[in-house]
Amino acid sequence: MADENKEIPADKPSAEGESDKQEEAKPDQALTEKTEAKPEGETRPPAAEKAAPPKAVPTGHKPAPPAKKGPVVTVEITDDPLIDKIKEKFGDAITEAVATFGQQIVRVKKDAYLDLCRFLQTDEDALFDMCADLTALHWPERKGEEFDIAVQLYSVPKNRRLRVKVALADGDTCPSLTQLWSGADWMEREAYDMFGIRFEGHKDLRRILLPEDWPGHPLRKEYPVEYRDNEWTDKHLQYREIDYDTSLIDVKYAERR
Amino acid sequence: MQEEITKPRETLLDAEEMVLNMGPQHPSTHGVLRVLLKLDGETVIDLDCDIGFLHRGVEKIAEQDTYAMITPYWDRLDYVAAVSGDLCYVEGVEKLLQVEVPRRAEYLRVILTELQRIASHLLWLGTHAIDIGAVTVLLYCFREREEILKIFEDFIGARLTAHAFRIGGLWWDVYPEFETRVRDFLKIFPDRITEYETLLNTNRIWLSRTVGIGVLPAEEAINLSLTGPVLRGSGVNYDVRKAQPYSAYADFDFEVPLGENGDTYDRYLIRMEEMRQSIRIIEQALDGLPEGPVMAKVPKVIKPPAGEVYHSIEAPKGELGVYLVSDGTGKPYRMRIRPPAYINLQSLKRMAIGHLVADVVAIIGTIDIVLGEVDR
Amino acid sequence: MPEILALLIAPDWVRSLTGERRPNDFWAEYIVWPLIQIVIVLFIVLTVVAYLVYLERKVSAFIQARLGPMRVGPWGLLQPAADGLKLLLKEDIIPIKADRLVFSIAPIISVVATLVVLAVIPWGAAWATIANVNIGLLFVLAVSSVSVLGLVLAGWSSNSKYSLLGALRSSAQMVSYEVGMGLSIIGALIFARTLSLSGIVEAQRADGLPYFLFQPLGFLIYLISALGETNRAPFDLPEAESELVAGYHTEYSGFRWALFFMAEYTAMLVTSAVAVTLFLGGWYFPGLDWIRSNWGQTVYVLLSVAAFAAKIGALIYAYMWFRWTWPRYRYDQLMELGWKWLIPAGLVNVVLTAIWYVLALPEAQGGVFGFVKQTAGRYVPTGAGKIYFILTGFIITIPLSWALLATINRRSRDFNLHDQRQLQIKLRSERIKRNEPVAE
Repeated sequence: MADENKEIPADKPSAEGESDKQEEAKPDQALTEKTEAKPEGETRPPAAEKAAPPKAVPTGHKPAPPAKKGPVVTVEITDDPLIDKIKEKFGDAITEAVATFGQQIVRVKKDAYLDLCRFLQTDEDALFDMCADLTALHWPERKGEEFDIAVQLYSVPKNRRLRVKVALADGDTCPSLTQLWSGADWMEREAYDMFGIRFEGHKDLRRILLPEDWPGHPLRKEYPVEYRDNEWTDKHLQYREIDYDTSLIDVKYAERR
Repeated sequence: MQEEITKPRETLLDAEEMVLNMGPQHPSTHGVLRVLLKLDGETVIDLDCDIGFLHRGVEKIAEQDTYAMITPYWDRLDYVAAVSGDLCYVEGVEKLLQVEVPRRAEYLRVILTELQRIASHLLWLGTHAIDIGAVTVLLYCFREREEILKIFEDFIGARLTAHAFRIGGLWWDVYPEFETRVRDFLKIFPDRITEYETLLNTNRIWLSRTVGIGVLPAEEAINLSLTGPVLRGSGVNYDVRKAQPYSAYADFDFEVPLGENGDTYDRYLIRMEEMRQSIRIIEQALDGLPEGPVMAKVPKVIKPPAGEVYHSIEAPKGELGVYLVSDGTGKPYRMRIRPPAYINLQSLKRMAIGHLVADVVAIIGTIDIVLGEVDR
Repeated sequence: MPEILALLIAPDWVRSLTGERRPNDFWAEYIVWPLIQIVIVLFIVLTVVAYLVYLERKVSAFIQARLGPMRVGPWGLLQPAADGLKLLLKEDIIPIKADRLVFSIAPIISVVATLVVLAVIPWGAAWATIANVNIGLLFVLAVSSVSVLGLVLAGWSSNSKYSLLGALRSSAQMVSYEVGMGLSIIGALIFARTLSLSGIVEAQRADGLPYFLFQPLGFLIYLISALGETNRAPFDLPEAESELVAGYHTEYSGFRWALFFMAEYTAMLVTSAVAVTLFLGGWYFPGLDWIRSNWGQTVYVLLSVAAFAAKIGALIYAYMWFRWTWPRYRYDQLMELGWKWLIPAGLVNVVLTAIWYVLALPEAQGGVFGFVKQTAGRYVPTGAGKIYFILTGFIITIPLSWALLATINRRSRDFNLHDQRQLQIKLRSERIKRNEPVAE
């Protein structure tokens, strides 16, 4: 397990301090070695990264393509009848059908996204009647295809899972799955709230977790983690810096009777 | 649509619609949940949930922390069932790392998770009962929950936000009296469940308040992505422990209770029965507890290969899932929490419309939400 | 009944205070002695009410496996004093747009209406009643209805939409259950033949049996109606914490709120007292006459007061027990219970009791069995008559009413649930008994 880490090109040195020491955790001496066994013991980068101005700095992730084809982790799906049926029906719209860690992922183009989902819901070999999860990912270095929508589908009668991914450009809208699975309602609202992706066909797309007039979309990579003073707090919490000499204030409580 | 709802009529006692705000501070909303009800007399004709009061941005924080640093955040999501949250994430990372957890650790994880399931259901029962008016049940449930929390405290160190699991197993083995204490608890507990059932099961008033309230047919429940007892109340046999077994659940023999009518009473019966089944699982796990290490050989710095994994477990509230996208570094690129309470809460609107105001409280209780998980 | 009136004459030492002589002892008889009695009764009752709150907290604590107030005084016995003092010292908050006069008067109306009723209740034998009004029961019902006015005024004057709605709901509930109460007591009146509360106790003493044996259905209806009338569980939805529409006393704090609270507990006390008087034999218990002849008048009266208090205490304990065991009914279920179950049952009870009574009259008055004999102006059942009434009460009246209620409510969704779920419940309990896993 420790060897696989060597295959990946070295990340920025600020991300991990002691990546070379691959010491293994010894549970027997847990109490004494608690601090060094956990990876949290690695040294943090110096203050250069922490003093981020409100226009913040992405956190040092090296961009990686969504499904890196490696011999260990991701394999092309070859012998699954359902995947073959999907490929046959949709042809070029399916850009990728791989299995990562044993979990099947189908990547589809935006135009065929809704049709694929409808097919998956209604076809008797597929019968994916539950949309378990719908979320978005942001890959800012992938120009033209910044966002990924990942839908986890589950079929109750067939007990199988499938992940459908579709790539979107920044500012693009995505067809909404609420017409097929009404459970996708709040999931899409959260994706809109956190990423700013609009879903066309969604009847009530508004912010769900954040206040209605919050600016920005937090889970985008350029949105800083620590961020306090924005327009919303200025408007609603009304911080004011007041500078006065309190000894001069004469406060009278209003008589009320 | 919230604007539509919040536009009330102006006159004091207008016979038509009224907007009632079940505000974020309310004894029965189980946390900071705001529900806007549009009422015609006492009948709910429209409903909107305003959530996000407890939003702490865990998914954003997770992109800054290493994999092991993130684990304690999962206790605080569903703070009522902290150990289940831990299990979900830790198993997700183990899938990414493709480590195999030792058998002893798996069995101990199952024991702790099932104890946590009992504790979570006890809290659910207590709060549900007190919302409907039976105050004493709350205190009885907390008496039992106290026993479980004491066991947790002596092993994990914390009662509520118990950080039990580490990536690769458990950090330390259980203390010698653990088994005795768990077995003592299991001896007294079935009678206590019978006590609650005696108080509530055939009580006329309880039946009046729960039968026929919040009915969901099975297809609609699946379509709404409901999971957990809310789904099984409608008769759908989907329990992640049986469908896609994780940890050591495949070794144990237990049943999944299903409901028939999809109403509040069925979900109540299901959760009571799940507590009994949890007792069964814990007994089998204790009987078959293997010897061995409790921690796998996990590298000191966790850097899984690039890829993504979706792992889900059957938390007491439903299917708790984690979607981890790794780019090969020590910090996840994206961590998505699939929160069962959040997704189950969507059904509140569907279930409550047409019922009376007093039923909304019962329905919120039967969905079993914890705002830490809804808002993350 | 001159015999009863004779027992309520003021004792001699009062006459020595005013210097009057019988029969022109207006001041002694009608002013001084009643005032002394009122002061004593008020003092005792208000203290008892304060300690009823303490008792409720203790009872609820013991039911819930905890201890309750323990800190203020030994076993927490000074807790009511501490609470009263705190409430008196609280800031007097009146909402800005509230109607100040009505806001202040409303709790006073509520509490006074319930306290006035204490004057006609027979607390014990002889001089332990303040006023023996010969329409005592009617007086009780009428005056306790006035407390509804206090409630509505409280809700109205709070100037809050939700307080008003809560007040309307509470008042509607109280009025509905009062009808049930009124009907349920008629059965006992048929036996007692008088509306005077002292007279009813005397009637039970003369008949030798408390009337709940003759009127089991009436007693049951009265108890349930009393729970509904006083807004006690399981009918306390209008004032429950988890209820969305707040109750009528939301805007009240400090001592005004304490007055409402006192009104509720006093109402509980009063309805229990009426129940004891009508159905449980009042202050009488067999053996009291022996005590009177052997141990004297004072001991006799004091023991009778103690017996009355014990019976009331048992009923109030039962009320508290109910509150902490059962969940609460929803408002529409509550009203349905009051109008569609209790009132028809009350009517049936009246009709059937009247039929049994007429049948039991002696042949000369048109009856059949002759189980009651005319004695000194009222009818007293003979030994066989008692058995007859008990049997008809338990074996015929109750099943007949149940049949009627089931017919009326056969389509009621909310109350036939046990039957709807009967099979499910039975199978489940059988599986649990056999220790089998239950997965439906």
